[in-house]
Amino acid sequence: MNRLAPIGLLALITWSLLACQEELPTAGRNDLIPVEATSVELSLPFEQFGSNLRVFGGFGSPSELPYGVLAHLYEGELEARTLVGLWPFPESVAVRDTTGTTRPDSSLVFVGGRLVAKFDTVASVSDGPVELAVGAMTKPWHYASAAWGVAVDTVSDFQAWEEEGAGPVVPLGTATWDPAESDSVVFELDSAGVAHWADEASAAQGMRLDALTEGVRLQANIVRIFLSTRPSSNPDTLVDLLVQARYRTFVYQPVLEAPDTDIRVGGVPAWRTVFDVDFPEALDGPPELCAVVSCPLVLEPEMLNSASLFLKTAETPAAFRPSDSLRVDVRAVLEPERLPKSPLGSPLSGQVGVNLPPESFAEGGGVRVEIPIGAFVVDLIRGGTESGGEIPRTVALLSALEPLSLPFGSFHGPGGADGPELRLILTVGGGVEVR
Amino acid sequence: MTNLRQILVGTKLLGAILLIPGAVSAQSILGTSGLGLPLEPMNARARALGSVGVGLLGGNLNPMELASSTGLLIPTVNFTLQPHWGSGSLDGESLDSQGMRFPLIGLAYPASAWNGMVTLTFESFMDQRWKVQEQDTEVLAGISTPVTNTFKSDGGIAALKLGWAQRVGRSLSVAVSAGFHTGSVTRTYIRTFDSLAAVSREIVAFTDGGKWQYSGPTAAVGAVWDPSTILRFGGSITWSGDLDAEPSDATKGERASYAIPTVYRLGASGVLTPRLSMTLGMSFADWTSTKDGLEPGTVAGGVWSLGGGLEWEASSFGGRTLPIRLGARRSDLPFLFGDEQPTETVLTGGLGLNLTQADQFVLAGVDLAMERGRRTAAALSEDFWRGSVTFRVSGW
Repeated sequence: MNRLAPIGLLALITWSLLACQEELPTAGRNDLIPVEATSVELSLPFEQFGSNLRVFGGFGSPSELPYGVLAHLYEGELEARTLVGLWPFPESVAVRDTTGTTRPDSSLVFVGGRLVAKFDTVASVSDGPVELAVGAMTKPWHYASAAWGVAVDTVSDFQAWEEEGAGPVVPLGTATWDPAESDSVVFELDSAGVAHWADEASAAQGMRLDALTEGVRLQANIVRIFLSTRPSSNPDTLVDLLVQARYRTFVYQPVLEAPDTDIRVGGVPAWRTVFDVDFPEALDGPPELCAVVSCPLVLEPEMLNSASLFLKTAETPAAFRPSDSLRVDVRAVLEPERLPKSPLGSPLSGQVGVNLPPESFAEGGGVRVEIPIGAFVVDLIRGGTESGGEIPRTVALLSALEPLSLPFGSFHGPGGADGPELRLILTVGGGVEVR
Repeated sequence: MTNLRQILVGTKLLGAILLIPGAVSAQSILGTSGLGLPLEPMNARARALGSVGVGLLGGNLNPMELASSTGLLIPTVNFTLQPHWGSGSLDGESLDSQGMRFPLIGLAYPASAWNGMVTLTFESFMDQRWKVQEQDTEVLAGISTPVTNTFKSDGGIAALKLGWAQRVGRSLSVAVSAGFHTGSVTRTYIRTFDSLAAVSREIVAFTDGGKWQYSGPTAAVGAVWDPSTILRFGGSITWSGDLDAEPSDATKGERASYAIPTVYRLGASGVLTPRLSMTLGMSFADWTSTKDGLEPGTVAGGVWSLGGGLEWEASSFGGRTLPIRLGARRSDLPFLFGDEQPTETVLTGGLGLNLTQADQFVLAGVDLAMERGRRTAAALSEDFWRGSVTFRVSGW
């Protein structure tokens, strides 16, 4: 018995623990639920939750984009030229001489070169082969502030181009890029051509790339030069040396004015649309709400199941219509008094914006876009953050990555049937009691 | 000094046991009604005998009849755990349940100078663990959207009592205990939306609920009388003051108060042969006055419980007894379900294992019970297995 006792006890405990996993009886009967709740969906027009909508531009610069843009009479109006500043040419190269010994050679003679530009075939818009031109810049320019009519626009300096559109340039050659055959175009340069960038200042001035074919908008991702040199230690040999781009930007026209009523997001320099939020504490309508709950309905954070800002795309000027996805974000404006330079908060949608395919901005627009902002609206209803902090009452609509591209998105502004709406899904009821 | 050490050891044992969560229990959808499903704080021996908890032979640490604890003579700690497995149907829908409860934890310590016994018990009262789920639809933006409504109750009510049992003469013992109800319940309502069918790309569940803390006084008196060595009568009266449910600071729901009825218990046991004994018992409580604190049509009124069984000391090994027990019991439940008063009928069985025994004292033992029962009310029918295991440690 003494030997059996521990075994029996162990078996007993094991048997008992078999039931330790809790499984509650669950019945599918609504009459056992001592709570009644109703869910309703309602849309608030912009006038009921927002005001003071305005559009600001000028955020970022084309030089911040990792590519250049070339356009010529795209959609009948857009002109864009890519400017590339170069690093100084190499001063020496290690070459094998006639005896077979590799040694540095600083007496280089540049006999020519090739300028290679690589394009994004998806983001570029053309109907076929495109004729391109390259020219050497003749005037210094500031890569971060250069624009169609301005070479330098800094705090201490302002210089206009002698010719609008980053001119004049010394023509160095033309080439044809056929998107159906390749993603790159090669300009052959002679010794006189590469001699334009022989000193450091000239190299920094660099070159301008133009599109000569009408109706195209191209995106040039990479521009580089391969110099051909004949070393003095081995004059029978040609050596290629790579010269990378030091700066890259693009200038374009026309530069649009901010819209009066519409919402604009994206572009470069980027557009932001800002408005003030004045969320109601109680709802006394619309009729579909008051038909199911007693009005006025004092809002509580727990009631909110969903809150989304709905925008409807408007017709974007054709030259600036996105040819790739645009990611729209909404963020709180942390210091509205410092607009347009106010810092912004983190995305209110809880993610990195809402991705909109380029078809959303096709001719006519009219695509409804949902941007979830549930957590922000919960804070608005509560009158502060969960930890008691103040919540911003001004928000900005902007591109999630800014600047992202030359094209921008347009949405209908307030005042019309297609204006912004705040759609809420609320559940009213509950009232759990202990009995 | 030795006594103090023994008390400390016993208190530590009891404290360790009290840390086990879920001190109250129940395991039925009947818990949705009223204050929940009653769970009597009985040990495995009483369960195996179909007893109502009073009138059992021998020394017992049983909060329903503390007077019999004078028969323990030596310090004793016991605790009971109760696994259960249930299945049933409600309007053709199957219900399954499974879980573990800890209905009784107790400590008894003799006060030899006064011929009495001090007791401390932590006992279950009501199980409030249940969940109900309903599928429904809501029309949102003109689209019929499936929703799931879930109501979950998690918690229960227990009682902590300090008692004194006193032997009066050779054949009578009396006891009194007092303490308070304790426990809490968290009730949560959740509505979730079918995210695939919902009109919004981001829709979160609606949640409402709260937590209430229970409190209220309770006390009991009882006696056992042994007119002869083969016969015992026992009885007890358990009184409770109003049970208050106080909402937590974050709870929007209101406080509530319930009148808890006095429970009367009466039982008797007799020795039929040197190895065979029998016990019978009954209890009654009138829950009518509790209706003020609850939804209308919730309370049944008078609640009776009748039960009894046989205990046979089948054999012994090395001087240790091995009692085998059988019994049956029928109990009303206090809260209506579907406008009917539920009843619980069980057939019981079990045995006792005395692991360590010195003379007539069981220093370590285990009692086992297994009940096969059925609860019925209106369209509800539940069959269940309910086990009970009581561990006893004495004379440390």
